[in-house]
Amino acid sequence: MADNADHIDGDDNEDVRAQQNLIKIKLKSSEGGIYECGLTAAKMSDLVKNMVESLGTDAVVTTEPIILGNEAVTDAALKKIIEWVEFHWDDPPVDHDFEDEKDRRNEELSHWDKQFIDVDDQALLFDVIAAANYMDIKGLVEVGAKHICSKIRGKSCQEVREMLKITNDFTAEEEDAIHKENAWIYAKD
Amino acid sequence: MADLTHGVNLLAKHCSQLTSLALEVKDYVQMASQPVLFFFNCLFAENDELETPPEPIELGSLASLKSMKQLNSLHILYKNLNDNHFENIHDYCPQLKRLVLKTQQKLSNQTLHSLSKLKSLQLLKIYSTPYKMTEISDNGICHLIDNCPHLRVLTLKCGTTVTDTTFDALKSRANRWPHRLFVFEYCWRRTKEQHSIVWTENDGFVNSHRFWPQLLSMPENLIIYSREYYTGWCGTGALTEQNEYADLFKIDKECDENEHATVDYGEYRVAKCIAVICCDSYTIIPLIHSTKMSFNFDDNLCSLILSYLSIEDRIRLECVSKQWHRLAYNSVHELSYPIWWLNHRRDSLTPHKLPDFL
Repeated sequence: MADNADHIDGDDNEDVRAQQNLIKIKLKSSEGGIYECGLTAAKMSDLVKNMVESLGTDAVVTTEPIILGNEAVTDAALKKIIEWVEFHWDDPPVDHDFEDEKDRRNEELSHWDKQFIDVDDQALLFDVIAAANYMDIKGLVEVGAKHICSKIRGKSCQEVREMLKITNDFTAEEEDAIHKENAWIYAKD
Repeated sequence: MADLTHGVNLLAKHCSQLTSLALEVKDYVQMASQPVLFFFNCLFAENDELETPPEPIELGSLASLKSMKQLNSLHILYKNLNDNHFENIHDYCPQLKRLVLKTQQKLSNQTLHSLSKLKSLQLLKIYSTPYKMTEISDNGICHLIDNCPHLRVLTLKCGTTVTDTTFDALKSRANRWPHRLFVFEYCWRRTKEQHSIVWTENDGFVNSHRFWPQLLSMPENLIIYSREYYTGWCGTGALTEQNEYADLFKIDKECDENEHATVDYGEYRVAKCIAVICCDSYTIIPLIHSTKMSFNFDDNLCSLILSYLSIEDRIRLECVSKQWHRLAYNSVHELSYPIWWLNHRRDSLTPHKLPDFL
């Protein structure tokens, strides 16, 4: 049974991607911090990938750093994002023949991802998610979204507001009306 | 006492294209008349798979393996193999796909952390003296699983301390690649709490799910072999196994892989897991509040985050704020209530939600 592992197909592009990841490019946060990242890892961001493809790899490597101007891309958030892409850049490619949207959405986060995203500083967590969204790193946005949803699952509205620091902008009447409308969800057979 | 370093150096020099290497350093080998290097020379031309029982030697450093750029399979049998041997193994043989280690020492998570740097690793088997507990636990196993994206077979034929954390990590991996088969084998010993579980059922065997109910909800592409180190009433079975395992390291005892396998599989409690979709196993821990930041995302991102909630949660939480109310049903990916139930509730369902659901 264990010998099933003997027949694993290699990825033809694996070596190329590994070689490319040895090339370092510089990313600049909105706070001015400049950080190095492997090229393949950085290209997990569609934003960076498009820039690299437009400018050419040589230009990106030899010239000024790529500026990530969104305010969510703080120094701390960018460092976390680089940590994530440097860990995930060599993940096996998604096999669309066998994976569908529903399975992927229901899939649990890996142990590493859980530890990565479970940060004490909530401001940093929100920055990472917003920055990942700006940089168009779908995998990381998904990790953040799943993490937040796992925290609020089963909570009441008030608990979620307190947890996520959300202001209730409904009037009391509006809120009552929605509660009445949704009363059926709490009803027991 | 000589070590294998010189031999492996020579091997590397003459056989730099070697893809598979087996080093079996057994005890008390009496071959003083033939130097180790001569022994290697004899084997070069004929076979990529080497079995090397030379004179009394130590393993030495594995650094020489670095020259073998193509080496992707390594088998080491050496009774003193310990955590330190693997500190820099990712430098020596970064291409390793298969690694089999047989030792009489107690390896720890340190070894798994070192091996986790082998990014191409697909198969790892670690053998140690039966019924002796090692310091291998969830921490090391999860680290290995997280860091070796190609790992498909993990066999720990040594005493481990495994909990649900490991099963979570395995489940996550298997779910991620549903078309691939994953195999995990481990040995364990009961804790004091687990001793209260009656052990005599099913002809003396206990199903593993009695101890870990989670095993019943594993994906079908994940096979778990769980072996309990139960010493019985007098412990003679354990002693016999330990002696047979020790024989592997003796040069004057014929002991092949098949014989070993017979010993190993003697008392296996096999947990063949059945697929059940289960995704709500997160522990809910309150986030630590930040004083400067709130959940302040634009509609697109907010909508995307809410899309990972169940319908029931979305309905319950839609009055968190006007933004949530507006976006809660933007992307409904799955209807989890049966139609008969919705019909039953039809009178109380408001019209604006039904079209979104159905």
